[in-house]
Amino acid sequence: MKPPKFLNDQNLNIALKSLGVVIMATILLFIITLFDGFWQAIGRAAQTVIVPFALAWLISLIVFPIVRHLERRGVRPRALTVTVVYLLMGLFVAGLAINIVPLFTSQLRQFFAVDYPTIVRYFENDFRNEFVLGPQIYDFFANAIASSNVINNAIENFFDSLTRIIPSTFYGIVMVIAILPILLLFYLLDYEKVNKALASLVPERYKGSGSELASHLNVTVGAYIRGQFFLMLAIGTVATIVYRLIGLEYYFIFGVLVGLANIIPYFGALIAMIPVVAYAFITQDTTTTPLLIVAINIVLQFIEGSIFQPVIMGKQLALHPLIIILSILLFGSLFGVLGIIFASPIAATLRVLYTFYQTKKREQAEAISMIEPQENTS
Amino acid sequence: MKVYSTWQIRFIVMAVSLLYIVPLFYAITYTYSIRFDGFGLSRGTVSIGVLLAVAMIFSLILWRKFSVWHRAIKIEYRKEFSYLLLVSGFGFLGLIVMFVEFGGDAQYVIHLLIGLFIVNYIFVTVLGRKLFNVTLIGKDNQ
Repeated sequence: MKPPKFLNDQNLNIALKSLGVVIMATILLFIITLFDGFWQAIGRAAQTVIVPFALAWLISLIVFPIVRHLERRGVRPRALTVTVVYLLMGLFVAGLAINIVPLFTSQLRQFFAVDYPTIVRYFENDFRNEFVLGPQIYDFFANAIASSNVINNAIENFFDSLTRIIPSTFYGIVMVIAILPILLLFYLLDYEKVNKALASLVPERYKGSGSELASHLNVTVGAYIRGQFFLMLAIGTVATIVYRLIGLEYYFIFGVLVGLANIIPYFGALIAMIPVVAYAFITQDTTTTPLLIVAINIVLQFIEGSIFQPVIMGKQLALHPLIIILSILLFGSLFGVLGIIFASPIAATLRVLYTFYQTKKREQAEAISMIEPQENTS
Repeated sequence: MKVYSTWQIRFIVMAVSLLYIVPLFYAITYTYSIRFDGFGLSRGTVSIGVLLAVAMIFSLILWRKFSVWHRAIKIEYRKEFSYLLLVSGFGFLGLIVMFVEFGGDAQYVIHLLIGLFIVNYIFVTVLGRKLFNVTLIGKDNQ
């Protein structure tokens, strides 16, 4: 009997090769899991190194265009330009510290002195009486939880992990705060030299494509980061003004929250709406109803998604909402909060890589199709 | 469609900016509770000063760059439009801030917010389509 057509030598060869790769990858993964502690240590060390460098690179994407702009205007040499930029950043930080930090802390203090007890009281009394399934069901659940050790165990585990995490996290934050300005300073001073050194690591035959990809990444991801930063600032300020105008007590805290949540494009304002609505609902603020806050945040989201995003970002930089959700879920589960924050820049980077690969593939195919007819004619 | 030169577009941007600069100043200082009492100045006086300074700087730039920008033409003025969008957005919020600051009844803030948002949105959309060749809503807005 003749074997089916798809079982030819070429297909079998590919199947065997693929099987070999899968088996090898599985064995490699198995070996990696055997040395779990070792890889965790390596991962932690890599994270300690990568986070400040990645942050310095991201900030340089925002700051370096200013350096270049100043240089074009005749502010030279580079050391002077970088000094001017650092002075401007220092003024910005000082402005924040003088005007914004006291406002933020005073609102935070007021919240914990006045409204926090109200919220606690609400959960202790009113929440039981207004429970959707009735107070009896609430009591049943409360008793069941109290009689089991779920809460106690959870609290113990939480504090255990907190005592382990806080020193390392604190150390990491202090390290980043201390190192970041120095890293950024040297990177800005020797921007071209560093990039050239990195480019020299690429093998000779990929050098052309490598430098093309690097410059493309720098331009596109830089524009994306700058656009997103700008959007966060704009939407955060608009939210703060509107919240204050409608008489929301902690307008500044909630406005900052909207701005920060906007790091997640398309959904930021909607996510930031949850604590504001909860606050308005629980404290029953007479001037601001939860419904009004929902309406305002939906309008803010509309402004961000339909007006600011397309105009500021443009078609080349806009990511589809589905891609955003997918990347948040994926990178969030892989890297936690940092993954959620960096999900959209990573997705933007991956899109640039994919587009670049597609373009190169198309160019290659076009080159081959141009050569083939010439060979046929000769 | 008539195509405007960069100088004309930037002149329009300057005009709109000057129209909104006082409300914009009110919006920013009100939000971050910035006061000038320490210098013996009121918010209104400082805002007029800012308006004059911005008018002078813009006029100077437009005057100096006239020969270059008058000959330059772009298919669309997206960057300028982004700037206009931002200024008009904060400016319209500033108008409501001024309403509150000058003793307007706070219960009308929401009505004003909705009304002025619609007016401002139409204003910016028309300006964008007619002068900047950028549409806010539609398939070709990107």
